[in-house]
Amino acid sequence: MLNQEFINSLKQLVGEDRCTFSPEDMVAYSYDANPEKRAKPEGVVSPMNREEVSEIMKLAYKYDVFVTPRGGGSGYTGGCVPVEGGIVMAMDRFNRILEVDRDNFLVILEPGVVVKDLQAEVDKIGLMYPPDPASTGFATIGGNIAENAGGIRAVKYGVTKQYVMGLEVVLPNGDIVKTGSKCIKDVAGYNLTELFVGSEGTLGIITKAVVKVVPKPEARRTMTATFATLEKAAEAVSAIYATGVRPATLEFLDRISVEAVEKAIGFGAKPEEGALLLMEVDGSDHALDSEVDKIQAACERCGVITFRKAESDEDREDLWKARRALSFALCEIATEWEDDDVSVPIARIPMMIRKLDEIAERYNIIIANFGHYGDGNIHIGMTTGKGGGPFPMQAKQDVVKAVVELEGRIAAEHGIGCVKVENLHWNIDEPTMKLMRSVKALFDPKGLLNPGKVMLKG
Amino acid sequence: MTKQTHEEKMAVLLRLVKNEVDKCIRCGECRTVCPVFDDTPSERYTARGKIAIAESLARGDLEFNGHTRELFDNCLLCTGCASQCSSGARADKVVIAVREAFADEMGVPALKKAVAETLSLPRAVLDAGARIGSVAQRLAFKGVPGTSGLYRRFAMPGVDKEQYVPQLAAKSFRNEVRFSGKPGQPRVVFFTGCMTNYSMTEIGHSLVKVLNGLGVSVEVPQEQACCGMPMLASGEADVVRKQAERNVKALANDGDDVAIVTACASCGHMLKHGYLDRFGDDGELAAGLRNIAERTLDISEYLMTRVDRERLEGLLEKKAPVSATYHDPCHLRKAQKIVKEPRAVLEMATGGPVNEMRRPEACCGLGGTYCLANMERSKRIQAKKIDDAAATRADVMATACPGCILQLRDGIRRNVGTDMPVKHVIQLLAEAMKK
Ligand SMILES: Cc1cc2nc3c(=O)[nH]c(=O)nc-3n(C[C@H](O)[C@H](O)[C@H](O)COP(=O)(O)OP(=O)(O)OC[C@H]3O[C@@H](n4cnc5c(N)ncnc54)[C@H](O)[C@@H]3O)c2cc1C
Ligand code: SF4
Ligand code: SF4
Repeated sequence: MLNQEFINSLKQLVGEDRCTFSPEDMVAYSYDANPEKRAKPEGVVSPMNREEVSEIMKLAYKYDVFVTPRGGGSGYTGGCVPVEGGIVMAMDRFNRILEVDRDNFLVILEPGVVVKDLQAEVDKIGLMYPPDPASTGFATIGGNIAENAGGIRAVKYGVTKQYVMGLEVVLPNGDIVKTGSKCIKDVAGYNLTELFVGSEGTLGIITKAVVKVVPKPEARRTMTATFATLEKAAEAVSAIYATGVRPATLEFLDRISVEAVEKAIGFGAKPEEGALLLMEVDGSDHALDSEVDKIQAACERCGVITFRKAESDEDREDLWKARRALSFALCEIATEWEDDDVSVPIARIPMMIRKLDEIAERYNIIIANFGHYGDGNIHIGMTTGKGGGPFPMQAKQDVVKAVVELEGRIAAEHGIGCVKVENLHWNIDEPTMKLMRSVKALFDPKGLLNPGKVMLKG
Repeated sequence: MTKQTHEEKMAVLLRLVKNEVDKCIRCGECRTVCPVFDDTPSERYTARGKIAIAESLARGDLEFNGHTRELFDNCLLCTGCASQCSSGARADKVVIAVREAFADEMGVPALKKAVAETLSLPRAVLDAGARIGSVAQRLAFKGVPGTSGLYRRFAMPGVDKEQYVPQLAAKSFRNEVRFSGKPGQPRVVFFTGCMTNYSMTEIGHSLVKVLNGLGVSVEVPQEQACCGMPMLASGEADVVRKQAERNVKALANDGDDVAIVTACASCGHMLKHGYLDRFGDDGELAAGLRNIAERTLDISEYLMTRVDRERLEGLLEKKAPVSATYHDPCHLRKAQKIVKEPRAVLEMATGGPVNEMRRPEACCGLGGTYCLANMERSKRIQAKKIDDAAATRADVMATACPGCILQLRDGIRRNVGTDMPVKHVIQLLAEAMKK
């Protein structure tokens, strides 16, 4: 229960129209895109500037109130779900792009800006902000930074952390700190910026960010290649890398995914096609044809069944169709899926897939996997099928075990949030965990910021 | 029939919204298109918020009170969220279902009731009312220069003194035109909608002129009723059902595949989807509604898909191109997915490419009675639209819905900086025809 004095002070601070305690608003802030985790806050506040954020944190500190930052609420691991109650700090009003510095290739902006809006803004002047998660159209840059989001261009361009140069952050005690700078080369002090990137809102509230942008590639080419098995596709990936070509996008679909999409939208896959690679190269127009030729040759050496190239924007859309139709297509196989999001070192993807096949057989379940081949990130969908019995949760444990054995990570794109907290020790040993707990305690001695996320209390 | 208990009613509500609750994965994609959320970024106004709150209401976890009602009232039913949603969730259906439940629990607000009651009156009464109204109006309102609209000399409760009010026609369109063309020619059935019938009759006459020019006869069924959108929006399902029945009687079972054309985006949406969304499982009525739905085409859709392009171009005079910008009515673009066709018509009519404004798809803020019931927010949404339109410096703003025309003219009157005329695309096409 929130203390009445706290409520009154909060109302006084931001005004009645930017904080709410009404029951229906608590329902509206009880979720993110995670299908299961929901918890209602006791209040919601929408600050407008960093001073307000700082004052709110001071108040929360004084009255021991939990604070959970929230961006677009598109996270998959319940990161912005206020599992311990307290207040949600909604960052929607921090939605301004403050400066586009074309000469230094950087943008200064507030965390509530939707990523797509940032991309559109720099696109106008021939620049590109490369991180491109599938949620670009509605996730915020603050959420992307807090989750270190990755996307389909990660193979060549890397993930969010490669683009964050500096941050302004409000700490749980209300202090406003600034990390990093506009300088590419900067060793003035510890690299605190990267500590905040991927910290899932547990160390501080981001109120401003300096991000890097790059020149927009002149052109791109899109192609797909199908193979009998994912091993064959993996061989092809190695062969492509050996030619020196670095695709910007390298997505894969396994046999079950290919079959599901074929059944749902009929893109012309033959029964022997058990794996699909979707690739894009970008760069200067005149160089791309030869890159495509090299990729094609590499695929042909590795037993490609069908190789398709997009000649127009419409063709490109056609090639992307299978990838885009995937989630919908998988819903046709089963309505209830257990999902996981993991990563393994890229060369071990085939090994991981083999292990998944074994697990599927052992538990008599269906496992569909797809994802970003280039950064080793695999999305795993597991089900007993339509009308199948309850899902054997032991199978999920076995998947995680397999990931760990291959030196993979139990969370890749979607963070730990509150759904994987109990599993972090699979990846992090006790001394390392202890260090992490001390870091958290240093930033947030009372444990008020986004409680219940990332780590269990030590 | 015994009266339903509260629990039974809530079970019905839950059944109506369950499908959308199941579909919504709470990804947040709908946040980026909602004009209400754009104005006031609060999760309660988003489609996913409304869906989640509707479920809680139906389950009895939340109360039916003024506060919860406010957020369901704060929806323009623009269908932007539904058309954006990758999972196919329909928050607009949820809003309508919840408004029905609220109407039942708390009654319909007087303002909305007045509009709905008027429009569902029998035709003879409405016609007489409009005749008297058109005279009375001239006494009560001042004319607005440049447009055929008025604004009031006196205050009216609940309505802002500045509100643009369209002039009522002395003679309703349906009283003037019953059939126009030659027997034996191909024909269409024209569903006029209230605004065209009682006020912006020039839209109806333009449609007739163009189609007759193409050798197509226009039949105007006399017993057609208001499409029922305003009543659907205020949660009066029983009234909508009556309108649906009347319209089935007036329009359905025409035998051969005669198109029903409309020049109003909302009427088109109602005929194509609105009735079926609500009464799709309603046996015999549903069959009639499907018949209407399958035959309905927006006028620009009709011209672009059923008419020979050269023939249409042959009707037009070659003049210097006019710069026109185009506003996409929500119920045309988002609900009916008609984007290219009105632009193609407009290009023919003006002899040049459309001078596109920033975010042509953004809602104009009308939302039926939303513009009266939630005036301040509606005006802010409207102002953005007018700014975007004015920035194009076009000579004329075109759109394809009489409701939008009303709202855009009102906006232009309020926002100094432009006095752009606003017209229906079909009107511009008719004006471009050879004498
Ligand atoms: C359909 C769909 C596709 C997706 N695709 C991808 C993908 O391809 N790649 C990927 O990486 N992710 C993906 N995601 C997950 C999600 O979009 C990302 O994690 C995204 O970064 C979350 O951003 P958000 O603004 O919605 O943040 P939220 O969900 O609101 O919050 C996420 C975390 O960030 C914290 N946070 C938010 N704002 C701040 C701030 N200003 N300061 C401090 N902490 C803050 C929150 O406390 C929370 O812990 C997808 C999600 C969906 C629904
Ligand atoms: S309504 Fe659709 S777009 Fe909105 S959150 Fe739900 S699934 Fe996403
Ligand atoms: S119909 Fe329009 S106004 Fe209503 S919730 Fe959806 S996007 Fe918002």
